[in-house]
Amino acid sequence: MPRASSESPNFNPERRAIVQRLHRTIPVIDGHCDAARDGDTRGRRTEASTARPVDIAGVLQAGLGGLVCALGVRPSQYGGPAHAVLRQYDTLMGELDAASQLAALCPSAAAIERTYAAGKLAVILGLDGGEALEGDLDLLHTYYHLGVRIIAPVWWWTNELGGGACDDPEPSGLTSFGRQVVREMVGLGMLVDVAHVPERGFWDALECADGRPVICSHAGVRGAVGAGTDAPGNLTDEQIKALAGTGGVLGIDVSRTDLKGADSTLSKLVRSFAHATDLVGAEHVGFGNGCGGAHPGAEAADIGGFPRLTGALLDGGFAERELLGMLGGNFLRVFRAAWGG
Amino acid sequence: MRRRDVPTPARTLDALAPERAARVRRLHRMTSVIDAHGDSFRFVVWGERRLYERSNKGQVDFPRALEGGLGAQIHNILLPRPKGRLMVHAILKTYRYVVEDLRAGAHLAMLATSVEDIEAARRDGKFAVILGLEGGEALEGDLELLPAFHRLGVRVMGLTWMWRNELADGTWEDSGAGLSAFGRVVVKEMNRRGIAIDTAHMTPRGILHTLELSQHPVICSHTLCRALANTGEYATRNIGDEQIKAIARGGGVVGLAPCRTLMNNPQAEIEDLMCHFVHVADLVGPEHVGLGSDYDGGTPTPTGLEDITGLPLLTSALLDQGFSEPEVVGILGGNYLRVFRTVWGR
Repeated sequence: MPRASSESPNFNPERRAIVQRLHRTIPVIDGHCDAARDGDTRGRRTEASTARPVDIAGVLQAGLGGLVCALGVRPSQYGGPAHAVLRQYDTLMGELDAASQLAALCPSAAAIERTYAAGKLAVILGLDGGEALEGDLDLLHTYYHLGVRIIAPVWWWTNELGGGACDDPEPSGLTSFGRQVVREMVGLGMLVDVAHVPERGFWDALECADGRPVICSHAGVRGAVGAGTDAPGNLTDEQIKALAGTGGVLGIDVSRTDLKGADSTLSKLVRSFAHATDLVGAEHVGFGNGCGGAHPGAEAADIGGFPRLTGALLDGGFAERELLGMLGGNFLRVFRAAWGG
Repeated sequence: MRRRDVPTPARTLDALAPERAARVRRLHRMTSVIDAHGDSFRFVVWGERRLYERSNKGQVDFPRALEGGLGAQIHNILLPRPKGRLMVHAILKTYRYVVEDLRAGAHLAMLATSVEDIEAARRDGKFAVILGLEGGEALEGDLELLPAFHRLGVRVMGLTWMWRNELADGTWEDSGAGLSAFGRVVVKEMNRRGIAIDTAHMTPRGILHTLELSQHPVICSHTLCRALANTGEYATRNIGDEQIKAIARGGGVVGLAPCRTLMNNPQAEIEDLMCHFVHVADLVGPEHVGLGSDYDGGTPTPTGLEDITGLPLLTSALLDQGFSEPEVVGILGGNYLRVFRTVWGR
């Protein structure tokens, strides 16, 4: 399967028509975006902070149909973690209220499809790190009721759920509470995200998910681009296979594959997709983190928007059917399976 | 002035004459009967009962509220006492059970965030749950949480509980001061956001200061009159005449509680409670009188009012006192609806 191509994407009219058709067929989903989290240290955007509101118009323009917005806290944030996350939730919901013509919160696959059909951006609520549970399973249910559908048990730092890569050179796996949370999530119909979770925690999470699909919303492919500089690093082939074995999806991290504009890096991304799909099949691969953090839309714009990425993958030899899955169909399938309905 | 030859009120529902019972039922249908204070959700958090199921424990659940003719109640999200941290945690924890009990009991009850919701609940024969917070410590010192609570459906907040917090003194920590700088900003922001201010548990000076600042009517959700009950450990929980007048001048309502502890009289009966209704009505007019049961807040009640199913006895006693039907309808709910319509707006 000669997929990896060093050619620049060929945007002749015929190519463009195919790409446009693909984008019209399926909501293109980005498995991870940090924008909702990157307010000031109190979780609220200010004029002075570098954070921008989620640039919904820009994200739509970049060719996306669905975006997972993750809430989450840093250790230093104001009040308790639940306090900070409640503020972030209110800020994001306020922005969605103000942009109700352009976007809607989607707690179900059906809502994503409805929202996509209406030409709007489907926003999916996630949580980066289980700190906001403050050690209490009741709060898991509350966040579910508020619309959170994806949780990564551990973000950078060690928390009540498990060891983190940032403050522990040899991070432990999931704690008994972390295992309990993962089991409860699966029972409740929430999707477990192993992005950022160090390797021992990764295997614990998969074990506790009890055969239900697990995603990695954003990570690089170690076999294609190396370990990466970010802890805990890009996924090994073994991890990617295990993730696929759950029926899940790896959102290949655009930023972590070091793509910033140049065509050579775009081809590096295509190589990552080729490596992962050769390993586990195209139905277990998607996009992640394409909208960057503080400046959503900027990185997607840097790579020429998602249509350009789609074009490059088309040049890379992927079939249209495979592309539809990678663009959004795979995430949608997993969302439906994990969330029910 | 009320009538002098007041008959002894009925102590049981069976003791109500059939025509009186029918009249009470008719009055209960004329308005959304509103109770400004209850604490039932804490028992759900503690795993003792669910509000969508009829229980013989405690004082309020959805089936018993409907049976008693109660149309709406401010249900408070209990905060960690006496002075805890992690208020937001406690609120989000309770919120889980609020959502789940309202979902499982959707045929019996609904969340009300507007006067329209309260009226819709009445039309559909449902009980309306209004969410309240009992104490401004819920904000954890952060004004920005106010819109977040509003988004969750909170429409009433007491500025303090028994102890001093970031906003003001509480009943048991009275330094004679008014609101703090933060408290003053919160009052302004509650007005702006459309969250009703509850002055129960505040100090005399705190209540007057709140009324100087608030652009909207305020309530005192559950109290009795200090002019009539000025002894015992809980005397300072009762509201003074000056404060009652200030609340009335602002267009607000004083919610009276069927609570023997506040009367400092373990034998107090409905007729003793009625003295407080008459006192406030005589002082400022019946349009500033309401009910605030404090049910499931854990205090003994007069005979017959042990739980919300005894509500008809209270209504009947108001009629016995000589309150006119329009006055009774106002006391039962119309007065609160007037305040909520003004405060919640839109």
